Amino acid sequence: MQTQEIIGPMGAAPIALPPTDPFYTRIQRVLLTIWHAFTASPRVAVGSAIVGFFILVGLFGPLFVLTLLTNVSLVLPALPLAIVLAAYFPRGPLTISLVIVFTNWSWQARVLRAQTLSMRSREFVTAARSCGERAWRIIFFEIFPNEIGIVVAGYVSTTIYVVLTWAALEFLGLGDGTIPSWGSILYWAQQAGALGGGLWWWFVPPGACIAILGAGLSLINFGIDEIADPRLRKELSPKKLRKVAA
Amino acid sequence: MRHILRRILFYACAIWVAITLDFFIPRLAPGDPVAALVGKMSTKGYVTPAMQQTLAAEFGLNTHDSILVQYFRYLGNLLHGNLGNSIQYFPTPVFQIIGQDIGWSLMLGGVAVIISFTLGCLFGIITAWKRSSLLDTILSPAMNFLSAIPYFWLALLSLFIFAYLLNWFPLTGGSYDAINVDPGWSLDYIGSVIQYAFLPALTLVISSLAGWMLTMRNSMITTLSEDYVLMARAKGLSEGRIMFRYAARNAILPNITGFAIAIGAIVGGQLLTEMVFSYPGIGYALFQAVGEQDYAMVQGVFLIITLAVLGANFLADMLYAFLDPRVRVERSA
Repeated sequence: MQTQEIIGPMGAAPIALPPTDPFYTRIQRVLLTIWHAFTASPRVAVGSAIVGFFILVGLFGPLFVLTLLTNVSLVLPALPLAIVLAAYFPRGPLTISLVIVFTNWSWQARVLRAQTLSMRSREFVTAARSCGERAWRIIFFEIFPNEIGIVVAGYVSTTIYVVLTWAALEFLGLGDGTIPSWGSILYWAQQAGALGGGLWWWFVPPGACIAILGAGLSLINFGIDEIADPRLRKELSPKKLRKVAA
Repeated sequence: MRHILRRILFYACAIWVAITLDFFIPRLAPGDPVAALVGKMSTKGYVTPAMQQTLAAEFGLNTHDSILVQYFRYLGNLLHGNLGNSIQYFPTPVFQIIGQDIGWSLMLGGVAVIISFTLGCLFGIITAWKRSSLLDTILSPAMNFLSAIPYFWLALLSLFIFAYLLNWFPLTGGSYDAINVDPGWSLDYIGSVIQYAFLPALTLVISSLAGWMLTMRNSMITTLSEDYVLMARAKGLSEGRIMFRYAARNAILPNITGFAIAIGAIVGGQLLTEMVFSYPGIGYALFQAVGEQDYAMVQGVFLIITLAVLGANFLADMLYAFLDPRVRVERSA
């Protein structure tokens, strides 16, 4: 069998020309070319994944597909996936940011989805809908303001989590070691054997800074919880109540 | 029954996504793994073009097959349990190395999770029962503080204090003292294993204790306001009996699913623990493979970790459906 190179958008792909009948071979050639162009490169495979996603959306409805995507993202282990992703792509802050986003977006999505689902059946939403409010207006101006407490608390928790994960990834050497950060200081401390050499002043301060930052952000979170949920506020003692009343 | 079916389908989908990700990530990444491998080997000696070809063929990196054919061949290999050969420990198969390491991870993680679960639940029950007592006011904020400390810093600190300064525990890695002790059911071996595993287990227990305790405490506080607890008290049952047989039994539900998930996380290989303490488990294997650019190993270990976590989550779902019948009737989110 002779082979011929077809130059397509993704580069050259060899196809085998089957012998004999001209009409069918032409059809086969066209189909084979399309097939090869479609599958020749991994980047095209990504494109086909996106196309497949939209097909699924068309078949099952966007709600089902998005929910499935969120749940699957939630169940895959975050740190191992982050390590594998960060290991294969060029090192740097952009890679780490994208990797952390990719592995951790689903938690907050799930929380807000549950909350919005419970808000959807409340009376003020029904009232807004019967007034003829558009859907996006209801979402952003009626439902969302009631969820601000969760969103802000989630933002602070995510910040803590990102700081810890970033330091962990840097510590493992998966970040750019030349860019200074608390995690990379710990990485170089480990490489230089600071632990075995007793050089405590090298690895104690960065860790302490991360711990203090984390503790501070947690306290901010408690404060936000108190503002958002009045039940958690401390009751004023009788002395203070008298002062307030006077 | 419908609920179980839905969960099975969901986990099948998640497994497929994990396998596909595991296949595509190395191939999507820029750079050429053969070049990296050749670069590594040329530090040990000259690499002829013929050797390069053999290496590429060995690791399946030279096929001009389309990506779909490679994908299905990968799936076929997986079904046969063939995860490829490790580059660092060539030609040992990846599956064999994982088999050796996973035992240590399971032992370390299993012991740590059981201890921290038991202690955490006990503390949670007691602090909820005697809310605002001295024990509660000291323990709850202390636990909050402990859980906020970044784990690997706690690990580094404990290694420094207990291994370097006080010399109670070994500083270098390993699972037992390979120089002086032979494996076997001798007191020496068991003692050595405990000595090497003590610090990692201690840091794991300290960092996860707070989570168990606070969840248990919150869930107990909600349960204690239920009517049946009031009824039990009205019947005149002893405090201990109410605390354990009535309240704790119902309050422990969220923690039980958390426990099953934590078991999954063990095989997830307490990555940071093993990396800081150089404990030869599956997390350390992943760490070394990433450092040495042993692509076959990275893929294999990641796949095993993901499958184990998914399996544990599945068991947790089934366990929860068994323990709490209300779940079977509700629509799953």
